[in-house]
Order: sequence, then C-alpha cells, then structure tokens
Amino acid sequence: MKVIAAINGSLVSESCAFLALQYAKYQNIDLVLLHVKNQKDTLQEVEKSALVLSDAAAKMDVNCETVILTGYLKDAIPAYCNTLHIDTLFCSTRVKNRFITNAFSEHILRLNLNTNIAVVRIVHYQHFKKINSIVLPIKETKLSVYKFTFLASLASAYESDTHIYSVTTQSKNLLDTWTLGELREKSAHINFELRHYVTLSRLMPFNLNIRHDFSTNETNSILKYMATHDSQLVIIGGRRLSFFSRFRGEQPIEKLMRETSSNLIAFYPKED
Amino acid sequence: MDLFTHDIQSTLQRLRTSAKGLSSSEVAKRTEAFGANEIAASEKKNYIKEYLKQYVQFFAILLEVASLLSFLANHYIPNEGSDILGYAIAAAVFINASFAFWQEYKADQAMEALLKLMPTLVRVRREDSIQTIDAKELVPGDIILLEEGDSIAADARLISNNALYINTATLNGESVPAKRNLEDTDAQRALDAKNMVFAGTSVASGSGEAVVVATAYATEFGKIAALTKNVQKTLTPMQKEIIRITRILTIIAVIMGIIFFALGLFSDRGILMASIFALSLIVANVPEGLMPTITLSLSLASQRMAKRNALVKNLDSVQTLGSATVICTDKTGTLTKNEMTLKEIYLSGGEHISISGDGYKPEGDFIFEDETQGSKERLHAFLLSAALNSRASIEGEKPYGDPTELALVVAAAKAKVDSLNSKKIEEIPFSSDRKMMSTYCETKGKKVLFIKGAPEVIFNAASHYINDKGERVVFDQQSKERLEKQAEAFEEQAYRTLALAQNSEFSEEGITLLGLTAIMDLPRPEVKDAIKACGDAGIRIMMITGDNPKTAQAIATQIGMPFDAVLTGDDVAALSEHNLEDRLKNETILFARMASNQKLKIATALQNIGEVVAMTGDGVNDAPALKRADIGIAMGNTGTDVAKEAADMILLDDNFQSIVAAIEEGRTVYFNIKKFVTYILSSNVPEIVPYILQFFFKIPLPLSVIQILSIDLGSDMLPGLALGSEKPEANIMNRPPVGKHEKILDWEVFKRGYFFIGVIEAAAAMTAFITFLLMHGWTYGTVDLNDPVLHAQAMTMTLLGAVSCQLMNIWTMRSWEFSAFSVSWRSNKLLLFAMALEFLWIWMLLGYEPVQKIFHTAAIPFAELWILLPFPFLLFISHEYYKYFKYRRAH
Repeated sequence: MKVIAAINGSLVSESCAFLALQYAKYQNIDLVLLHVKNQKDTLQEVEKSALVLSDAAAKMDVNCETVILTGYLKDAIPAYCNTLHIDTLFCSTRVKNRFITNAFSEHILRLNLNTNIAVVRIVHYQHFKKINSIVLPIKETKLSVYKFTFLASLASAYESDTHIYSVTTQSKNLLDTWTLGELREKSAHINFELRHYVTLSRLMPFNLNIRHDFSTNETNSILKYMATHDSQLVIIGGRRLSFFSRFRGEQPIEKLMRETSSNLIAFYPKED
Repeated sequence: MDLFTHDIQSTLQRLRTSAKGLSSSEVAKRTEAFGANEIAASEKKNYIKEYLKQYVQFFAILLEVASLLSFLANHYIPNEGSDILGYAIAAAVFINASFAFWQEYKADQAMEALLKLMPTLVRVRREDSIQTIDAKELVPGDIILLEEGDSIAADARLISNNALYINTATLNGESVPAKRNLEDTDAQRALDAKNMVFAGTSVASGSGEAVVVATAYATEFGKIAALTKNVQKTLTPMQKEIIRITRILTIIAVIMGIIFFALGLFSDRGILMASIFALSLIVANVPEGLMPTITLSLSLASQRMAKRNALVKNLDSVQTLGSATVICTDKTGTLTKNEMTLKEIYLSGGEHISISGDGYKPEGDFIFEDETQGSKERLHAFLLSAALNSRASIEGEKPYGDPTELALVVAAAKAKVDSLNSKKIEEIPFSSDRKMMSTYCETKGKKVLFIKGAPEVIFNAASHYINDKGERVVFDQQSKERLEKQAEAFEEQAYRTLALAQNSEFSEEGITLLGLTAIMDLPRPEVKDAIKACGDAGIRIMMITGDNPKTAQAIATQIGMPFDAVLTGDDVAALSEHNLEDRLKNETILFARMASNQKLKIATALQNIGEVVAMTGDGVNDAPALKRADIGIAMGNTGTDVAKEAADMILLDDNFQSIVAAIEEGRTVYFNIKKFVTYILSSNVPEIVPYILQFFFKIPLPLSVIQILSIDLGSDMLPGLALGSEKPEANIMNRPPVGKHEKILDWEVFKRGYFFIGVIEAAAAMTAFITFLLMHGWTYGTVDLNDPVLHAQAMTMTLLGAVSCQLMNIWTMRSWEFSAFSVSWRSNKLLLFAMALEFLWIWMLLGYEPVQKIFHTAAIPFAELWILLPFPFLLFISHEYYKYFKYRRAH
C-alpha cells in the first residue's frame, strides 16, 4: 500500500506533498513522490523539492521514494499506478479561470484510477506539521464512509479539532418560516443520523463535533464558515460539488476553489 | 505552522524567495498556482430581468389577465368602455410593477466600497529591481515595499522595518495606528502578529519591506469580503407582510371571481357576460392603489427620519424598526460623546481636584477638596506639564490629536495655562513597551523633561514626589501605596488613569511624580432618557464594546442601562451557538473586550431566538454583522464607506437617541400602514356589493368598473398617503415591539374594513343609488334604463356614497385606538391638502365634462345630495364608539 503525492517543483505541490507525508505517516505506509516529465517543469526544481520532502520523510520515519515517469501523462500514470496498491493520490490544483484549465489534477480525475484522489488547493503555503482545526462540510446527512475515513485519518494524524459542518439548503421564504424550535429539531435529527460517526470518533485521537447551518446556498454557507472560523483545512466532497453542468454556470467546486480562504481538499473516493 | 511564527530567514526559505524578490518565471508559475490577487465583486443584477419579474408576480398576472379580458370584451361588445377599463388596469399593473421595482433597485454597493480599499498599483522588488505592478499580480513570495500613505494589497510578513505603523481600523476597528516589528511571535492568529501587515490596511507612518504570505481570499481582508458577499439577509417583516397581503387579497378576489363566473354561467348570461362580471368583481376586490401607497408612505417616513438624523437606505427597514426587540450598540461615540474629559486630578501631595465641564469646550471650574497653601500653583504646574507633554491641540473649535491628550490640553485651557512661552526640544514617543511618553522642554529658562504614562510604570520610575507643601521629597513606600490606592480607586470608577512626572535631567529614571489624572469618555446626556424610553418600549439594549468590562459596566450604570451579565470576547468565543442563544434568551448581556467579528455571531444568535436585531457598527469588519442584522445601523460621522453601504440605516449624528427616534417612527409607520390598509379595504365593500346586488336583484348596474378604479387609484390614494404620514400616537413607545406574529392585515383590520366601515359605506352607496332612482320614477324590476343620463346620475350617487363615507372614514381612522378628537385637525397638512383635492375631484365628477365622460358620471342637482349626508356621520360616530368601547374593554 502506498500514498502518492504528485509533485512538479512548485510551492503548492510541495505543500500538498507535506500533507500526503503526514497521511502516510499516520497510515504507516510508504510515500511515493511522483513526477511526470514535461516541458513546463524543470527537473532541477522537481529534484530540489523531492529532496526537501525526502529529508522531511526521513525525519518522520516514512519510507519515501521519488519516481519520475516519462511519456504521455494519460499513459504513464495509469501504467505506473496499476502496478501498485494505492491508498490515496494527492495532487495540488490551481484556480480555474478558463473553460479548459488543462491542469494536472483534471487529467488525473479523468483517468479513472482505482484509487482515492485528493485534489488539494493551497492558499496558505505550509508544511502541514500541525493542523488545529479540520472541517468537513456536507449536505444535511450525506456523508459516505470513504469520506469519513479520509477525514478520520487526517484528523487522527493531526489530533485536531474536527467539525462536520452540515448545511441544509432551503428557499429563503421557507427558511424564514422556520422557528428556533424547528431548527433545533432538524439539527437534532441530523445529529442522530450522524451519531455513529461521532461514536466512532471517540475511539480515535481527535474531537469530532457537528455544526449546522440552514441557508439558501451551500457554497456561500461553506465560504462564510471558512471566513468566520480559523479552520486550517477544509475537506469537501469533490464529486457531488462538481455535479452541476458547466453549461448552467459555475460549478460549486469552482467557486469554492477560487474563493476559499483556507487550504482545501476536494476528495474523490475510489469508485467501486 | 503559520509563517509569522518563523524568523525572517526561515519564512523566506519556506516561501522559496529572497530579499531580492522572485524571478519573472517563478512569478508566472505562482500566478497560475495561487491565482490572481483579486476579490470579485458581487454578481451584478440584471435590472431588466428584475423589472420584468415584477410583471409575473401573482398579483400582477391577475390584473394582466383582467386587462386582457377587458380588451377582448371590447372587441366583442364595443363602445361599452371596456377598452378604457383595459388601459386603466394595464396602467395599474405598470404603476405597481414600477413601484415594486424601485424598492428593489438598490444595488448592493458594500462590496464595491470594500474593494476601493485595495490599491491598484504596488511597488515590489523582483529580480533585485524595484517595479511598480498591478496589485492583482502579487503572488506569495513577492517582496512588497511600504511607505507612509501606501495601501497594502496582500497579507505579508515584515522583513525590514523603519518605525512602521499601520492603520488596521479596516480590520479590527482600532483607531490608533499599530506599531509593527520584525520579531517572530507566538501569536495564535495572523491578526495578532506584530510582524505582519495586512491587505486593505494602510501605512500610517514609517517604511518597511515585507514578503507576501497570502493573497486574495486567503487574506484577512478577503475573509471579510467573503462574509460581506455571502452573508444573506433575511426577508424584512414588511416584505413578508406585503407578500402575505397580496396573497390573501388576490385569493379572495379570485375565489369571488370564480364563484360569480359560475353563477353567471348557470343563470344563462353567456360566457362573455359571465367573464366580464367575474372580472368586474376581481377588479373591485383588488386594492390596486395599495402597493404604491405603502411605498410612498414608507418613503415619507424615511424623510421624516432623516430630519431626526436617521437616514434610511432601505425603505422596508422603516417598518422593521418598529419591530426591533434588541438594540446591539457600540459604546464609544454612540452612548458616549467620544470626547475624553479630564474629570479629576489627584496631586501627589494628596490634594483632590474635581473639574466641571465636559467634552472639548475649554470651559469649567476646578473644585479643590483638600486645598493647602500653594495647591493652585501646583495644579498650574501639573497642567502645564500635561499640556507641554501632548501632541494634541485645539485650533478654533476643532480638536486635533489623540483623545486622551486632548482631555489634558483642554483641562490646561480651562485653567488658562499658557504653554506658548515654553519650547519643545525633543520628544520620546509613546511605546507599548515603555508605556510612557516624554517631552523635553525649555520652560521659564529651565530645561525639564515631562513624562506621562501608566501609573505603575511612572511609580516605578519615580524617586521623588511633590508633597502638599510644594517640596520635592523622596517617594517612599507609604506615599507609593497611597498613590497606588488612589490610582486603583480611579480605575474602579472606569477612569483612564495617567500619572504625570517631571525630571530636570533628560532621563526617564529618577523622576519626580506630580500626580494622577482621571479621564473619561462621558456618556451623552440625552442617552439616559433614550435608554429609559427603550425600557418602556420593551426593547432590550446590549452594549458591545472593545473596552474592558469595568469601563463598560461603569458607563452602563451611569446611563441606567440594565444588564444581567457581562461577557468578554473570550467568553463568547468559548460558548457554543446553542449556549449563547440560551443565555441571550434569558439575560440582557453587556459584551466587553469584543472583537468586531464577534458581532456576527451575536446577531445570528439573537435572530435564531426570534429577536429582531438592530445592530450598530462603523468599521469594515462590522459589515457582515450590519448586513446580517434586521436593521444594520452605520455611523454617519465615524463609519467607513463599507459599513455605510452594508447598513440599512445611517445615523447622521452617531447618537443613540436617534436610533430610539427612528424606532418610534418605525412603530408609527406600522400603525399608519394598518390604518390606511383598513381605509383602503373599507372602500372595497361598496365596490363589490353593487355587483352582487345587481346579480341577484333586478336593478340597473349601480357602479361601473372604471368608477371602481377611480376610487382605488384616484380618490383613495392621497388620503391613504396622508394617513401614512400621521404623527405618532400617544402610547406608541409604551407598548411592546410589534411582534413577529402581529400582522398588518389581521382579523381586526378585516373586521373594521370589510365588515364594519365597509358595510356602512356599501349601505350608503346603495341607498344613494336606489333612493335617487326611486325619486326619479324608477320602479323595481327595470334593469335597462331608457334615460342614460339618469343612469349616469344614479351611478354617480353610488360613487359619491362611497367617496363621501371615505371622507369621514379618513378622520376617524387617524387614531387606531383613541378618539379622532385626540388628534389636532391641523397636525397633518397632507391630509388637509388631500381633503381639498377630494372636494375638487367631487366637483369635477359632478360638473366637469371630460371627467364625466371617462368616469360615466353626470351632474346631480345640489338639493338631491342630501341623500348622501346621514351615512358619513353614522360611520364616524359608530367607529368612534367602537374604539371607545374597545379601549374600555382593554383597560
């Protein structure tokens, strides 16, 4: 079993790899620093970055190897990944401001790899040695076991305060009619539905709390939460928030990636 | 680990940059990775779309269908006036849609004002050369150059510093520039790190260089922008009420229309006639003039409020003010004058002096408690030291400088201390480490260092003090304890306490203590009454201040503001949302040492427990809370543009009393709207009843549809508007706030409008119609009159029956609870004007041909108008009795 961190010598890919390193350390599995040779990135920078990360891995007793692939990305990565048993592939991403971004992360997502993929948007460069607060926004009670497992791994690795931020969306008119009693009742219902995750968290080295919001717009609600709470890492469900058609306007995930004030992971669990 | 916790080298290393800056290729890569350093404005509304939306509302669609049916009717049965009706209804739709749109046409400018704080150009060091670039091009790792007056475009960690001070008011409301340093820090938040500078702030003085650590939304400023953009406003009570009123009235109109359409079909009148009949009933039921009247009434109220120093930006907020149950107010400048005043002096010899006067007016007396020989001279020397060791000044009547220093300068002016003969040689500015400032002066030919600072610091540095005989004696333990006790006593009373000292040498050690000052920002004198008025009106007041709990409590006690508990910012942060809600439900809380961003949490918690929240604020970081609150109130004098744009109301004088005045107006508007809704509904009954009677009995048509519209969009509108501008009733501030469940259109309004006054008006209209016809030889059963003039005259009588009753209705409706005679007949000028126009209108209906032609009216012999007389008086007397009876039963 391995954790893969895609690197290209940039600051953000390095930051993302530090996160992968902590994850690998907690899972007690090896870390692979993966790079696919291309015309854009200089090998010198990639090697420099790999050296920094390998040193850090060595200090943390994590086995780390650097793999540099050649050839077309769409061929090289599946060919390499199919030879391994991969837990999660971490790769950094950038802001989408064009119709087709042609980002590495987009290619990775299209490859249908048999692995979990964590697309990381870095807005605050850091080595991820310590994370005090992690948030997992979900829609009402929609939380898959995969997403929770990923959250639990990172939260355990950092022993951080962790929140599930449950957002219930409704029309403005309906929201206005809900009384405090009704809101509390709905919150209690959500807590009840998610109770087994809270119970599970008690067996793990992190605190899990559930917070609620009732709003007209899930994306705005998540952004508002990030701005008011000093969360250092936010994990969102990448697949669900990418669901809306591009032709109907901006996808929620695009807005979140662009306007996030915290480092953010869009998590795509392995499809069975 | 955040970068501000690292030393400069480590920070640069981690960001893979150097003091020489980034290379252009690296900048390109980082721009791609991190994105541009820009914050997007709110999405602009498509106003054409928004305007067109008004035409597809439930109410509008109903009228549009009615208009279309009228044109269809005119096509099949021409010359019956259906086309005029069609145009009139279309005009009503247009007027309603335009008014509704005008209300919504208030673009959210808060984001634009916020973005103005961001600079467009910045100076950076890249590839070891200084470049001026677009602020959007900044990336993490860039080295920015800062000089006095520069606006800062990103969050950055300082790498060089030359006495740099930054204005952080936009982020934390701090009015005093914050000193920066280079040392790494163990601060938990970037905002608390002294080695950081922030986007949206500016350089007050000094210069420096810094490495960018965060851009765009990742900056502290970006978080405020995200909040300002994403916090949603709940519907105002007025918006909800308008939706409710239109829905109820439309449903009533449609149901009646359907019933009579069916009856028309079953009575073999044909589809077309049945449709026209149903349509007439719908038109009669819908109060077409209601929405424009509400809008105009709110607009007039906002003008009255502006005269009372409350500028309302959002018309709906006027009525929301009437529902306010909690006012969350700042202390400084709102409850207090924001003018520090030196109230007491304690000379080191033990003399206690009180000073009268407040604010920055140099008028006041000095009252000695333990005066000894030479006390006045020592006081003079004390105040001279205070004046010379201050940068503040008053030129003309305008104060310049730090408020605390202004208090000292003003006290010196009160004592007529002349500091002009002295010369300042050098100044050692205040620093937070030393907690003191000193000025080296030449006075009366001698060089003296004057020192002022925190008492504990000055006491430690003092070796001597001036005793009650004017001698310089050793500052022994006993004297120290005495002065410490006095300083504590001042602080207990929430005074800002300073100790003053001097030294004949240029040294801040071995100084001679002169005494203590007790300074306070005094409450505004009018606030006490305003607080009491709020108490009587059932409104809770919660003070939210950045000051310490002692000061907050002292001010609250002085102004008579009740509170059950004091919570600090840390307490609030520790409370969960549920716990905070529970506490707010049961207690009136005084919030001290609060960060502005905690206001949002308080506003949300209060709203969650059903309170209607009015919240004051002035800083950029107050914008989300102002937007969230039911009524966001920005300060006109001290408020930033962002706060003003985010707020619903702006206080032109920053005075708490103006909030209370605005609430009084808000409540008045609520009841005034209730009055004119009742007034407008009353005339619906004489519009509906003639149609129903004509359906069931063999009588000619008593009222045409165009005549109905002449009431709804003509004769009812201006008097209705006049009712909307009635002055507050006597008990308006002695009743609880208008509850969330109190509706404008409640059973009482229906009862009075439809089933009481409306019935009298309908009786008046039909009695006038039938009596007039009978007097002119009509016999029951004749439906089609041969004489069109007689028919027009009879219809005119019906119309006048309704209008004459409305003329009296307006007078009795002026007070909802009390006698009409309790209100001065001259107090509402608009009402008198409306009455004059009403009479002119009646005259035109009776004698002006073009009007007669359009509205199917005809002249009536004056002698026959007596038929109309009894009903208006009956209406007036019976409604007055009804109010009296209701009042007696309630009390």
